[in-house]
Amino acid sequence: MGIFELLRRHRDSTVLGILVLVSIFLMLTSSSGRFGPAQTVLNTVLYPFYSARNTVSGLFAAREDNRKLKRMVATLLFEREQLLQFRDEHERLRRLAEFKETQLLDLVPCEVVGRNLDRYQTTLVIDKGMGEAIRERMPVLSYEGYVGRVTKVFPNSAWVQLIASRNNPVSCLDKRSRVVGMLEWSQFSRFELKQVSVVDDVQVGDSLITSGFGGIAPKGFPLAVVAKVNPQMDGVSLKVEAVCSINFRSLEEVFVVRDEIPWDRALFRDARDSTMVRDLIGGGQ
Amino acid sequence: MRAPSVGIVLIVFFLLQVSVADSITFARIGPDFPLLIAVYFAIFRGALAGSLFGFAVGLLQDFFNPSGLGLNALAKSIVGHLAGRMGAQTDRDNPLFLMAVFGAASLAHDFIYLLFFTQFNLGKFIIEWLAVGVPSAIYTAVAGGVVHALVAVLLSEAVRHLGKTRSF
Repeated sequence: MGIFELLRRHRDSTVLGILVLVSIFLMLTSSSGRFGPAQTVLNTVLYPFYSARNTVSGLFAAREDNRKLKRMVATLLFEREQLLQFRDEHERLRRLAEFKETQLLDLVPCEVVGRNLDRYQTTLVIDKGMGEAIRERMPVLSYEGYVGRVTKVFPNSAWVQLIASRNNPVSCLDKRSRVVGMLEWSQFSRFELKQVSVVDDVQVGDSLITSGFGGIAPKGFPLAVVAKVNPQMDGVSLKVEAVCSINFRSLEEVFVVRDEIPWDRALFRDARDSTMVRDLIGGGQ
Repeated sequence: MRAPSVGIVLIVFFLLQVSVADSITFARIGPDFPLLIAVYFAIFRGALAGSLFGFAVGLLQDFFNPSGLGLNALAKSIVGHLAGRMGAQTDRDNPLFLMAVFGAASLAHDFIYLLFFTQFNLGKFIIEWLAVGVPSAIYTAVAGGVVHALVAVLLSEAVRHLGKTRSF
């Protein structure tokens, strides 16, 4: 019996032996680079099934996902509303705290509810008055600096005369050289620094701040920036022009300085402030 | 109960592999549907066809990871051959017999596969075979038997329903 006859008689085992040899040969010589086309075909065949599986499983999961997402949307909307409120409160508190920390002042936040009918916009109407212990001559601040003083108080409102008006000079200080002068409104946003001699050190770009000498405006609040410096005709004084960066026409919120207070009582001194902070902290826990 | 056609069962095994196999595998222990395809075909088509089909199925599996090319082909061709021989000698439609063959085939398959996969490191081989191979063999046997029985029942019902419809 020849070898071929033997193999034919044991065909099954022969084929198995060949397959085993081929498998071992593949194991010994396998290289991933040669099977790219086969892998492509395999992927082409199987991918639709995998894709369909994902689609079907996605459909089954869609109802549950939809329910979860609806709940999540509701929660997020609620949280968003809370965060928006917290943001506004935080912004107000930050501004208030910053003022109180740095200036140690008892500030009364006021909304500008009106302006006088004068075309020069020299007077504001605010929404706080005697009920908030507002008194005449109290200084008034904005976020950018000193803006004026209270000239008239009513039970629930008050008038504020801006520094950008005639007959309302402010004692000021050159922040760099500490030269003292009187700042008077000239026109538009331009001011004139008076009572400055030629020997005083005032330069273009210097910041002018309230000096606190006049008895009304507290010390250290920005007023204007020196824009031009020239000697006067008399030869002994300087003609100094300054520009104020505050847009008096767009003031919406101002702060009346009710009192100067010790620093340890300055932070959140008001009961309302304390309550707000306590609520915020409690809500965050 | 009518014996299901081999082609239908193979298709069901294939669909299960591409649909739920990953979902019902836990800690690497799960049913080996490609093995069931090769073994089921071998039982009903004999040792020669079984070894060839097992080799083809294994090679397709190996294409997913060419660095181990030949591993599945070797194991499945041997298992296919053995399953074909067993199927020729006993009652192939007996679900218990099928489950026994599935289980034994899975054990043998993993035995061969792990021997080469661990490069004859007996320590690793024994741990893997006992921890994964044996439970997976039981899982595979049960899954194969259940699928076979379900397909048989469904097919019988379909044929019966079809016969009633025709009688009207």
